[in-house]
Amino acid sequence: MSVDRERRAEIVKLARLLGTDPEDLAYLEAVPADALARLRDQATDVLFDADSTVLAKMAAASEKLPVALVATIARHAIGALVCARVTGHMSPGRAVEIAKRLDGPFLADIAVETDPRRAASVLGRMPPDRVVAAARELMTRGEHVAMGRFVGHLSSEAIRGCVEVIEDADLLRIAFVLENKERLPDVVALLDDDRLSGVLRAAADDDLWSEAIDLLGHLNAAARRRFARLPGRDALLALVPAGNREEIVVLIG
Amino acid sequence: MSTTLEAPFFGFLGCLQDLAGLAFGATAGFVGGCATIGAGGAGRGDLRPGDGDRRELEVGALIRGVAAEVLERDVLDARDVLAGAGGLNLGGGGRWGRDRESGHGRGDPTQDSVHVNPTGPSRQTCADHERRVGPALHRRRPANPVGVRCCDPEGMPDPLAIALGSVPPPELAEHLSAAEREALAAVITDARARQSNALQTALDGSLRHIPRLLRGPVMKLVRG
Repeated sequence: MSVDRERRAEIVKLARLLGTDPEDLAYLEAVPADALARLRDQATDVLFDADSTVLAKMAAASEKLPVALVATIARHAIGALVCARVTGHMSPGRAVEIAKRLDGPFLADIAVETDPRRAASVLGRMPPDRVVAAARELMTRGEHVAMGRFVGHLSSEAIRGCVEVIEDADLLRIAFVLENKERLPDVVALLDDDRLSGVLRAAADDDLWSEAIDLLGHLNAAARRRFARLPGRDALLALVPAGNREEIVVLIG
Repeated sequence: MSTTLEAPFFGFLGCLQDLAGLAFGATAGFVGGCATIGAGGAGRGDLRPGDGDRRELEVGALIRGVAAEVLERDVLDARDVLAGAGGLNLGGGGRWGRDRESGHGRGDPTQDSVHVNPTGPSRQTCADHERRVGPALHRRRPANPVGVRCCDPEGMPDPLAIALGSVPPPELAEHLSAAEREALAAVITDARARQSNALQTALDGSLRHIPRLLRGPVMKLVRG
């Protein structure tokens, strides 16, 4: 189940990168998830390295124009795909200034097309309110996979802002497809006990126990202890289906 | 039974060697005043020592040796590409080249020839290629898609490797059929073409928003 979901997530990411429907890549479901991840890295390199000379020149040209004009051109002429490709060639400060003038839906469009590794310096400096605006839009569209790619590159303030607007069930879904799962303890540290209880209830409501187990499995001992000491722990554990209960109990102790 | 096609291959090598000969000949002429060494570059490797001065001959041979070492890699690369593209079985190598596997020079004139199977194109299999050039070169990440060193079991270049410009994860070959790999390669190629089209459209569209006075300098910056 978990392996299938990982493969599925990788196929969705690859399809998103290649601008195609995940169903058109269904034949990749036989390929292991880590091989798909490596394939996606290679395809990312191909696409982002193609036309890099022109993209670099576009970035250089944008430095000569007023920020407001560049933002207008980006929104109405350049489009999200090319904006996403150009971002990695721009100076981070300039890119952030332009992003401040873009609305949430367009930022979400760009986020879907962006390779976070190549825009890491920009993402780290993005104002939290712009990140939250994009996250809200991505949530509306059900883009959990796209959001999961960014968490490792955002500032703690931006993540804190996003966590506040993301529903408990969506948190589980994003955590499952997160690319930098070593940041999960930091994310859980931002949740109070009510949110932690809510996450377990959401797992019960939406049958997301695979995601919940995956989340608990990537937490450190301190974060797991918080789950173990939740008020009403026994009532929460009673929600866990018999097939998953033993695994959950082992994880949170 | 094979038909020998020496002329095209030697012509190709001759071009490379002419270039190197001219370059090294000119350098040597400047340094040592050996005009005959420069003349050697005009041929296809036939050293003509002019008045027979032994010292000139030795210096010429030394420079030619250096040129051969410089050329060796390119000649072998060219042979690999030719072999993969046309089904040609290239025997031996350049006149001055060294066999990568044995490390010996090629003195046998029969090796300096291009053979083609008259019954049909002979395919170079992946194993053949790896045996001939060694695993490091066989798997080498290429500078461009034409030079991709990975071949599929049938001996044709893997379309996925060409689309990616590098060797794809081996699990893909295990779990996907040739048709599926080809379909995936087509999706990647389409995505790349779509991106280039989007870029062109963006460049054209952005002009409409830039004040007329700035259009010239901006487009000069972007298009060079």
